Amino acid sequence: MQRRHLLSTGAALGLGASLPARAQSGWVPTRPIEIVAHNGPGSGPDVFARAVAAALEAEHLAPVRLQIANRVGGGGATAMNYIIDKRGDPHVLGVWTSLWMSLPLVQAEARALTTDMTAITRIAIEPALIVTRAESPHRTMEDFINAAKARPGGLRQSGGSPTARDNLVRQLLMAKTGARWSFISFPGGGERISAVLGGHVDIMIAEPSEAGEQVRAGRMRVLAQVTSARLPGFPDTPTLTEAGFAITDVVQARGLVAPPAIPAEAVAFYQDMFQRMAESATWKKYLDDNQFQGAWLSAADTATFFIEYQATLRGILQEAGVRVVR
Amino acid sequence: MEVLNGLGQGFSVALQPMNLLWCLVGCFLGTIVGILPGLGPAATIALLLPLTYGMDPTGGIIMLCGIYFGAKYGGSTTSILLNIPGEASSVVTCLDGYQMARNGRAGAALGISAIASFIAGTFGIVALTVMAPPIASFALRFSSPEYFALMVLGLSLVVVLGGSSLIKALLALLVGLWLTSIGTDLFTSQSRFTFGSSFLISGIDFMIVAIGVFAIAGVMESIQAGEENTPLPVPSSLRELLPSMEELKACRFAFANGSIVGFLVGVLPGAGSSIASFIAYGIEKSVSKHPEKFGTGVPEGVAAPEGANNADSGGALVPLLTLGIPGGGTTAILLSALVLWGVKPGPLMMIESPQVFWGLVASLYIGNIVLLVLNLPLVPVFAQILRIPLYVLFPIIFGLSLVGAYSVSDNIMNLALLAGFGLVGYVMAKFNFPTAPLILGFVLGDAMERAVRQSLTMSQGDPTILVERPISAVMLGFAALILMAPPLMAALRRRRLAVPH
Amino acid sequence: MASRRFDKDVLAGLALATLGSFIALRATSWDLMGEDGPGPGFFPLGYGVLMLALSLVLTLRALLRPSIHTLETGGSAGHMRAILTWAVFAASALAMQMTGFVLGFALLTMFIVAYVFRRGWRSMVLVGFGCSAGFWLVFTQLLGVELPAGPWGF
Repeated sequence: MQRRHLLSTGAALGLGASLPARAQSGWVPTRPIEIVAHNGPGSGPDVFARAVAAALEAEHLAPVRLQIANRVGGGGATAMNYIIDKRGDPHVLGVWTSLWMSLPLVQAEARALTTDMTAITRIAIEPALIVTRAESPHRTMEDFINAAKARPGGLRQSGGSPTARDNLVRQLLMAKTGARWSFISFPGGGERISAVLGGHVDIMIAEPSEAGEQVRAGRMRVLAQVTSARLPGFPDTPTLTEAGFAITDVVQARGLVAPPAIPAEAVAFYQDMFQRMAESATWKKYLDDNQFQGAWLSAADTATFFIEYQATLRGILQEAGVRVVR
Repeated sequence: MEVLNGLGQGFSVALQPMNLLWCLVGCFLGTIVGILPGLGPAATIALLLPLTYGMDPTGGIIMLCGIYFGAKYGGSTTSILLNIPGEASSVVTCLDGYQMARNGRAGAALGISAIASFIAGTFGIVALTVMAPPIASFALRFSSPEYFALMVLGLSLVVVLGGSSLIKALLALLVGLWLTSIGTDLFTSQSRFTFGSSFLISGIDFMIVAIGVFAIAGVMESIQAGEENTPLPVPSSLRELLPSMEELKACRFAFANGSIVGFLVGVLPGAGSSIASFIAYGIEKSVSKHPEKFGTGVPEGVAAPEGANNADSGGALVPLLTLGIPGGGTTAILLSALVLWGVKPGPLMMIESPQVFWGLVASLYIGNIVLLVLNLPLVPVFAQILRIPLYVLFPIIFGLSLVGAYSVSDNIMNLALLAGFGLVGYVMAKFNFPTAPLILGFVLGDAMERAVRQSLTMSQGDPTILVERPISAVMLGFAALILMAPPLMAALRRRRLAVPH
Repeated sequence: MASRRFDKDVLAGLALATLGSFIALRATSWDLMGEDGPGPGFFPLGYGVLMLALSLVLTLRALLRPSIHTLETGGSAGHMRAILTWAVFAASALAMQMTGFVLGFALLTMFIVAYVFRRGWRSMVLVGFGCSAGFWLVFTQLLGVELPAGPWGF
């Protein structure tokens, strides 16, 4: 297993741009690889997929051409269904996000599950910041929690869908502390930030890229970071755990997945390819620029992650009173 | 004054040859993107982004904004000539623009659209230049209750848009409101009216409804009326191909209306440009001396919405450039472009990257002029499209509609829905139901429901939040005025006639 | 004829009343009031109930008074042509997932030229081929817009 692994990697690297297939030991792709993103050009998964492709090309890790396919629709279900329908085809990959695990839990029509797909890897985690406007009286997370306890339901958080990470963190915090505050869904990031800046809501759990500039300009303050280790850009703000609220279950992650029933050698090839990419300078720079954190998991570990995380999500969503259909 | 200093600096940047070139490229591309269904400015910009990685940020953002503004100019072309909305904010232009074309005034409609776009666009850019930071701060005071009031304002226009039967207009409005609830409820992830189809989880796209109800149904009606043998009138003299002085004079209020409404609605994140064009059209009709003529081809009915959608672009840049807050769709991609080039859009952008900010603003002035110069001479050229024999034009309309619908998400179901809405539009017309309220309901329904539910969550169930805040109260007052305007104006006219001179 | 006129309103009213009832009924199966405000069923219930009420008013009004509306042009022949054209349009749109855009659109165009405009087969072929080739060139080749493709790649 180990030797075939190395040989297949050697074959892949040694080939560069030329056609593969002289190496019999180990699988290499023989057609262009399609990388599927569940939303349109310019969206989160699309940009991520393009960054992955760009990094692979820059580091000469892919022996064939990579093309991005946007399979838009169904809130992500179209892309997921496409992956399932491409059973056995090792030349298709999909960029998965935590949405791929939460969507099937709440939408009966979304029939595709990540646990039915072939996990390849997890390569990034998105941290978050709990922010409030500069004029807010809350200076620490504890201030906010105490204020929320004093006025149950009186404080407000702006966010997205109730199945997204920001509500999940809220649910866990509320369960842990006994405080209660309301969650107001806005479809766009711009509206969420405006709600905080305008004083219409009290906090928001935002990505560093969304709120970073506001913090830098002094319009917003960070109460805590939702991450395992302090982000380089915010060395003075405690993480949630450091602040006394250990919430580690909710992870907003991204990675790659393949259709069900592809050959084991293909999985090994991809796992190795992405591992090399994750260690490359190009990729590390991408992570830094976008304030993501590297979180590489092997194929087997990713498969376990899918099962465990979906179960965790189910539990949290049921607690939150969201109707779970699976 | 620092604004003048900034502008001076900006023009010196914008007038550099490379930046002028990018401006031209952007405007040209944008016009094409706007004209052709199947290409939206957001998708085009997103696809061009990788090509611009190494570009100088100022040149890059100049080009992208050229595309953004250009698309609004071009979007009215197919609306007027073929009854196919080129993009979401050009839907309202179909109402009177296409009728003007059928009356032989296609050139005039195209010309008025370009002129209105120029005037309102310039207004939007001037407002952006002079008032951006204070307007942005003011806009922050808008939240869900104010959005609710804005939606009520929009919905009150059903009274104005409805035509002869108010009941039928209200019924059409309700159908539109219902259609927009198909999909996933944002607050609870509950699927509504999806009939087990994963395709409908994300709802029905507005363009499919609009293209179906306008373009497809329009062709069906022409066939039913036996009009295939009467070609559309196209004037041959140049003078008749451009707007006449009377038509331009009639549009004076519309130019102002479109500018102000478009800019103000554009500043609010999350309020789309189609809302702006509807409100401008509705206001225009409700203050008009001859409201019954709207829908038959009046120039103000083209000038108001077209101006609004251009001023809206200027407005949308206010929160983007002063606060780093994207309004949605295209501005979100512009934001990621700025981030990509290392510019940090946010409250500090004006201070840290003044050459990008002012360079962009200055080039918007230039771009606006370029677009006018590009579009006006093309008016007589485009009007000739109507000379194409109908047996070629009808298939082209069908083809463009199919391409436009398919481009929403590369799914054959979109085409099925398109056909379905075509039938709906035809049936509505045959049963004497007005279609504009259905479109209005579709545009506003989702946003209004969200605004109400967000507001009630904010106030923990207390409904007075919807009326007590000053800004929303003012807008609700305007809505009441609009509801009362037609009978008021009619009463005023009667009094004027009754008083002997 | 007056009776034909308000038959239309009665028909429309009844159809919309059915739709309104359906909407309202479906809406009641979802939460109407959550703890934080109206639930997903609240607004659709409102739309359905209002639709039902207004359409009943429409129906009653049409039944109770003879209405005078403007004359309509064309008779049932016009309707048949329009509906048939629509049916071919819808069928060709759906067929495009198997035949691809170019072939489906060519067939649609040829139908329109031949049936609606009653032109000869020369026009039919020329316009059919020209339009679909034109669309293929401009959209898939020049602009790179995705169009449905059949097994032959276009």
